[in-house]
Amino acid sequence: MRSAVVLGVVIIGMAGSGLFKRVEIPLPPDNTPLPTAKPYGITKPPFGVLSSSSCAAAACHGGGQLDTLHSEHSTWSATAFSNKLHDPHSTAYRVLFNADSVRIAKLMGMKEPHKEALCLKCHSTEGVKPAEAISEGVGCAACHGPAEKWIDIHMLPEWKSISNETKFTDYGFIPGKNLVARTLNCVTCHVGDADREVNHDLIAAGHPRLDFEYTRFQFNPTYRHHWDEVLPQPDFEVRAWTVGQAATLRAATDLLRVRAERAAANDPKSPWPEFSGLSCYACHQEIGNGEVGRDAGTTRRPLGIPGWELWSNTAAGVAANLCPDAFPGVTPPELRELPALRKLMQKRQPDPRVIAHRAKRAVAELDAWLAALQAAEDKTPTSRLPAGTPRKFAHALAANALSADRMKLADSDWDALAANYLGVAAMYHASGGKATVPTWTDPIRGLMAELEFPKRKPGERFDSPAGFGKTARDRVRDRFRDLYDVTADPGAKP
Amino acid sequence: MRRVADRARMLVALSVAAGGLVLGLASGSRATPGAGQDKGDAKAAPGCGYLGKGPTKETAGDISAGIQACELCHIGSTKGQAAKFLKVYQSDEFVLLNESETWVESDIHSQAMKCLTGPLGKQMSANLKYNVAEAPQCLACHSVDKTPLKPLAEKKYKDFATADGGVNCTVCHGLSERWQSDHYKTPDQEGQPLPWRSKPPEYKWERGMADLRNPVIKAKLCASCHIGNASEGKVVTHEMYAAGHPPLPPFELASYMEGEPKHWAYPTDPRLKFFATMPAAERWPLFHFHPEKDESYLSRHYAVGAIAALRAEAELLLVDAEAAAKTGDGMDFARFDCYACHHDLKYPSERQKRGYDGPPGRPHCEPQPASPRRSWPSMRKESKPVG
Repeated sequence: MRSAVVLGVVIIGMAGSGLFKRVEIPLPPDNTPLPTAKPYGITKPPFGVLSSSSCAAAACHGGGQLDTLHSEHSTWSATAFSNKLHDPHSTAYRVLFNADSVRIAKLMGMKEPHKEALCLKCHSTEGVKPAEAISEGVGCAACHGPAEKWIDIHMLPEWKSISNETKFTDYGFIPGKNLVARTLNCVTCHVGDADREVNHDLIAAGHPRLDFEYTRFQFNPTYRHHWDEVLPQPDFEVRAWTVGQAATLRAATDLLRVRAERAAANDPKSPWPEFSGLSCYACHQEIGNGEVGRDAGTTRRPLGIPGWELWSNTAAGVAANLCPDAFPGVTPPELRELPALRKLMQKRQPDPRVIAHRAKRAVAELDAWLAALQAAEDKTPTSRLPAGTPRKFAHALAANALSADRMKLADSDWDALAANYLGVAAMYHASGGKATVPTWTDPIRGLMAELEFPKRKPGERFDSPAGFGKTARDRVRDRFRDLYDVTADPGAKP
Repeated sequence: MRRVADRARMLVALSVAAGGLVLGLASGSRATPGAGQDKGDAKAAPGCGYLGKGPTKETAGDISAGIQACELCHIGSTKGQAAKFLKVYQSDEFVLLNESETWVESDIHSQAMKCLTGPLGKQMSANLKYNVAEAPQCLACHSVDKTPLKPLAEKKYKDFATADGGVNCTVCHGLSERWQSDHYKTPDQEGQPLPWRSKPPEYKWERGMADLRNPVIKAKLCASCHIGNASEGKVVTHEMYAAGHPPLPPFELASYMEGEPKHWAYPTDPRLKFFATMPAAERWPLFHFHPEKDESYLSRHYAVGAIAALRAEAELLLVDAEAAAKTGDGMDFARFDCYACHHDLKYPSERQKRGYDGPPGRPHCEPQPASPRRSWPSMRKESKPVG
């Protein structure tokens, strides 16, 4: 009988404790005052959402001359004109009918993904009227805001005299020219928020992981823009990368808060810990014999513990330290809560009440940073950034990827390496690429080759860096060291 | 809690359904001294014969942990003192008598310490920031634990014997000076079989010699390292795996026995003449095996090994769940199915094609591949790490 009793007790043990029950730990004292400034754009405007067809009149934004002014809708749409290259947002709804989506839904216990709120929140324009307009995919209102209040006024001259903040708060218009307002809106889907998320269940069912880095999305060669940036390069991309880091980390931290609050309330639909907030390939890697399985790599965490949001945490410190270089006059933010949060997340089963509390405080600090960046964005720059700015960022990112003595990687987790790589790649692109900074080309291409997922047969793919072991990581380290050298300040004394 | 209790009851029923083997296993004791702690469950189970209490702390006696003593005789029928025993007592009709030789020359257990001192051990030491060749949590499986009754937290390097290079005779056969001297004592009458040979397993067990011909005791002993046993300080943690410890291969007793360089013989082996003419009734208490009924010796080991694996895993889960309740830090990832997480992500995906048992994206506690899986599915449902 004893093994039977053991099994029984195990069940009680597992269900009643361990993964389920949480030991009551007193919350840490929170007597440190937090900043109160918040950017606009983190709330949902309470106005009616109009369909994209409201924008598509030939005299307005449906002019039919692709890539020109007054043809924004035509350029965005995949169907209005026969343009192979379009804005993928316009096909977001359509993908819900493909074989992948059908299988994902089946595994999730859903019937039809194109009728599921979970899917439609990101794959269509939420709340759009008439309801059939969800078939437009992620339409104008998803990024520009619900047009009920501004559809009439935005074509009048007085619109230009209204401040961005008022446009958002009084009219529900998302002023996309402000990079902070823009990216804070992107991340609601591309990272997630209280209302929308891609959790680990959905990923296991087949949904791609989310890996938002703003400049990578902005300059994706398969993306057809229906707008031009006001700021020239490199200023635009240096600022966009910086803002993207802050906005992505803010969304990830707030999503952690939401998930932790739900777990603390014992919401059965909210798994805890939620694995999608952890570094994917810390777990999704080979084990066993051979180089990949037996090499522990370098980590800043306890062995065998996946890192929390390395994707959005790793390079954000560089963005914070250097934000005065991208936004003259803005001081580096004080982000004291994030290190504490990262430390708390180095547990197998962090206490969700503690995490919710800390994450909320971390979001407050990030909000203050974003508010400062947003205010700077709302002012038209009076001068250009110094020419060496991308180099300075790239140098700091290369240093960030390496240990203090630059003999090792600081963190060999793929997500951490990719975050640093995407930062230097943005700076390379901002600088003008090979024509301007030819010495960066080889290390950047080398990094890309090492970090890229291996190729499979047509129709098949790896969604993870299969075989990413010590040899590859050593080469990544060498490329970052090369980059560190070629991006050193030419004026600095040796 | 009622739902949980209901499920627990269901599992109890399932385990009972596993039959007499479960009973036999459940009441078994560990093969090293100290098993007598399990008070009140030392029932003799039908079908498995003797399962005595074994020695306690008081009766274990002093320990001789080295192989030197064994080597004097068990080194081949023509060498050393073995020749004398062979001539006088026909010792090779009861055992093979070349056990030490086989162990030294070809048994991988003799190399267990090399894992700790070799390149992988050094790498693990560097990663774990402690010396694995001296750490009790490593030596518990890789060497000889001289103080099996001492809790892991109190164990020190000196509590282990490492000189033989690994898992030596005493680890499996039992630590006790009492049996080690008793088992070759001069018989009262010259020329008669040694009294030790004719003693029942209970007698030997009480003096510290493990009854390894009993598949239940053997299975539990092997599983204590090859799966783990928290009360004996033998647990491979996820931290150890992350530092480089190879995954423990699935444990299946019959296959492991087949793969092991044998310093023993199966009961029907013609070399063991002592048993050849033994009546079935006398053979059963020794081997728990019915050759006259065309029973397969290994089949019984397969079945017993499977249940022992399940029990060992269930016990690891239990201990870990209790620890998790205390620390509030969840269960060790090592308790979950390794490959639920550790796989490359690819498209198309066999996992998505196959579907999931429960919500996708949650790791399961998987039983050992060879353990009776039908008793496990309801457990899988319970093992979702849902908040």
